[in-house]
Amino acid sequence: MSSATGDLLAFKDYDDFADSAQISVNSPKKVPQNESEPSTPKVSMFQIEFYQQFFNIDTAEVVERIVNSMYPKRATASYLKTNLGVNPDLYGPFWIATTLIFTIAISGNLADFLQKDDFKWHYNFHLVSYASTCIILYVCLMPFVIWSVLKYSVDLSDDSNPDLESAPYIPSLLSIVCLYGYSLAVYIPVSVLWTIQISFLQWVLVLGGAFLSGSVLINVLMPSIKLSKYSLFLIIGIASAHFILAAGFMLWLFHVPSSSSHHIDSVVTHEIIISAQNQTG
Amino acid sequence: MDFDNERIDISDDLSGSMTISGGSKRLRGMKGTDFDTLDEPIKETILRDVRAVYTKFKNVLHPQRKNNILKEWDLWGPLVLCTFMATILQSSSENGENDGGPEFAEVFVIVWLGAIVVTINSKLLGGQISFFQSVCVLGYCLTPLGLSLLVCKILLILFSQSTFIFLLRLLASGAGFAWATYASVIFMENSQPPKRKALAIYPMFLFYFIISWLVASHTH
Repeated sequence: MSSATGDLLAFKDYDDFADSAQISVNSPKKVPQNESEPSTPKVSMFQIEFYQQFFNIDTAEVVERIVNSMYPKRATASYLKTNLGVNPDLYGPFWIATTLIFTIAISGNLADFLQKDDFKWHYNFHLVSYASTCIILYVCLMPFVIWSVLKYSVDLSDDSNPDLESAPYIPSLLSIVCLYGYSLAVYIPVSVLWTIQISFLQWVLVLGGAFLSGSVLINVLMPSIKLSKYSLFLIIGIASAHFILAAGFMLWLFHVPSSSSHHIDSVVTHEIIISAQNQTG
Repeated sequence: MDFDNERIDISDDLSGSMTISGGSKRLRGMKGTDFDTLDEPIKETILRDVRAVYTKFKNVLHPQRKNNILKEWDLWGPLVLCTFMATILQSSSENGENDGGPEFAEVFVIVWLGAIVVTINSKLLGGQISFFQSVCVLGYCLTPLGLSLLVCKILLILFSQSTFIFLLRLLASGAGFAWATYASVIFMENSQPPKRKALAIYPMFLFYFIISWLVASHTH
């Protein structure tokens, strides 16, 4: 071959463009916005790497967050800013919500089965869709309401250094969603225990669960709520919404007295039918 | 292979052989370079896929660690299993009203959507497995649950309802659930990032738990 074609056909060495093709998914050091940080190259939201930044979490960290959501004073005072604010994840909220939906649906069916007292499984499979609507609405709407109230009412024009612990701080929407998602974790064992058909125990579970995770919610959000004009309303709103969620599920699906009257009804109709048959027969 | 010297025979009919000189047998052994599948009988084509599906079923029923079920995926097995389970699990309308069980389409949606969600979760956490390979593995690992559904159905048909039969059915679906989870963990655990294995495996556990609940609560 001639040298000219040899030049054309020989391998050429190009500069190493490896750096420009790299995508950094490290968690940013300050409060993240909804788009990617200016320090990392922009990743399109149609690529999976964009969503990987919300799942950048290890098993130990997830377990830590779940435990923190159940014990009121366990998280540090600046938990929101230094932990959830820096690396909010969507793994916890999504899978805890999904587990809760199915635990409630299965336990609800179990409770119904125990209340009816025969071996026919009257299962209402569509409980799954009702339960999921409630839970997903709760996890999406409440954080949005809180975030918008905080954004509207907290004045961030403080001159102090934003890295100080006492500087005013509004959590991002994602951190609040993350916090709410993890706070549902306590209801998973509670919903399994709700199948025990003792009314007093069921109410104790409602109060205990709502109190534990509600107080964690308020404690963690307190640094930001304090700054708002509507702090009292926020606290009352958060606590009551949490309690209503728990009480609502318990009363709708698991509560004993409504079923005992149903049982009495079915026994009574049975007896009426038998006596009618005896009369005609 | 000497392409330059191949002569095209232009005699009375212009039909020529498409085979490369040297014959087809030589190439059949090479992986992926099977040029002659156009010529083989249809029975051979179908049997090749059937054999692949059958091997995968065998691998699921007897899971071993070093296994190349992941290398070539196919979705025939999951489709057959899903259709079979949905047909049995769908609610019967013998009393003229819906007895509250899942419809045929709902079972389909649960199985396929569940497999897709578990796969996406694994990929988002940084797993090194491709999308369809993961869906394939999750679908094939439904085999033990299909078997336990068959056992439950037979128990229901042969015997009348009682606590003992109920416990047997519970046992059957529990065994199916444990086997399915074990098999899928064995196939998938090596492709997950080291500190997040539990995070990737928990959704599989939940997926098979939900399906085994569907199996256990089927009472007709």
